[in-house]
Amino acid sequence: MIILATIVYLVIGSILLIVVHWQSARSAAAESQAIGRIAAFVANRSGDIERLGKGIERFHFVQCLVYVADRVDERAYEPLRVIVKYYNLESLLLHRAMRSGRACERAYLLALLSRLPVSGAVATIVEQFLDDSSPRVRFYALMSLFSYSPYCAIAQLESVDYRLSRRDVSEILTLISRGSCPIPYIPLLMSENYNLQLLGIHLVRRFGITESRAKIASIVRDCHSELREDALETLACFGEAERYSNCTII
Amino acid sequence: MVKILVYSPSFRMRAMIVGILTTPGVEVESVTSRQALFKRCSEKLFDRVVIDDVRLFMDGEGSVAKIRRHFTSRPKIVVLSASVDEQTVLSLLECGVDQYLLLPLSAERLRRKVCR
Repeated sequence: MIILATIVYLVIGSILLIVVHWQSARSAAAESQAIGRIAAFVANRSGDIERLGKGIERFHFVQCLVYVADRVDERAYEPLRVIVKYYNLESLLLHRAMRSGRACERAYLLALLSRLPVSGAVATIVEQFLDDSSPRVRFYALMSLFSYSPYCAIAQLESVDYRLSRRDVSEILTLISRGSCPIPYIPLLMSENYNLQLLGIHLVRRFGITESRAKIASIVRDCHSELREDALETLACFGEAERYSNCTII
Repeated sequence: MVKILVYSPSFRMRAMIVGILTTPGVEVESVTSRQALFKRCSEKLFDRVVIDDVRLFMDGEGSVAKIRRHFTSRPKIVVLSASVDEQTVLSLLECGVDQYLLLPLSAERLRRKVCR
């Protein structure tokens, strides 16, 4: 009896594994095709836009589009914008985010939205998430505003009343490095705002802007600055940490 | 007809690169593993080999030699990576890689470097 039950369980388990494997293979095939079609449309800047979303569920299509958007530079944004508008993907993500009761899901949907080229109408709706109780939702709402209005990025960041984490700064720098968010580093380093200065220090470190050495050194010498450690690490990256090794950082 | 072989461990990245490179006058194939890459390079002469895996070159010149071993003409090897580290780039070029392209990709630049 026990042996029979074990055999039945094993058979059912094997069948389930085969079904799951087949479904994931089918899903991967559909995803591959969608990504290939999107990449071809973006590269050619034209094509059969109706065919792009065929054979794949709409939300899954958004994820494929975000995958491509993350890996192409800003010159590809115009065709991506056309796709987003044609398939009405902004309203899909926003409506799901507004209906969702879970902060992690809202944050994920806003994260997807922030990686797509969004329109002005979206910015107005996204602002309501800036006061959300979840820090991740607030941050990705801010990133969505970055995506819409890169030239107002500094003003939006300055108005934030919480401190950015290193991970947040890293995500903003990823956006900047795609060329979609031009931010001059000098006003950031000169700013008294913690977030802006933190972003400035990490920005010059990421891009190896050694001309900012003097300003970074002044942050290290400032005993009251909370960013001395970050500034010293940046100087270390520039190969200048030895000069400041006698500074005491508490 | 330009013959291109694409290798990436990620099926999504493979699909994206193939989608960008597929144009009239270009024949694109893709492989899923290193063994398949070396095997396909030994069977057919490609004009370009596009690789999205810097770890392939951890053994120095070994992988480049395996890709170019079997024919007298050498396919041009183009590596894609998100790393901006100068040492990594120099090491790859010293191994014998012909081109190094940074992510995020510019589709026009990739086509210009690979398809011509």
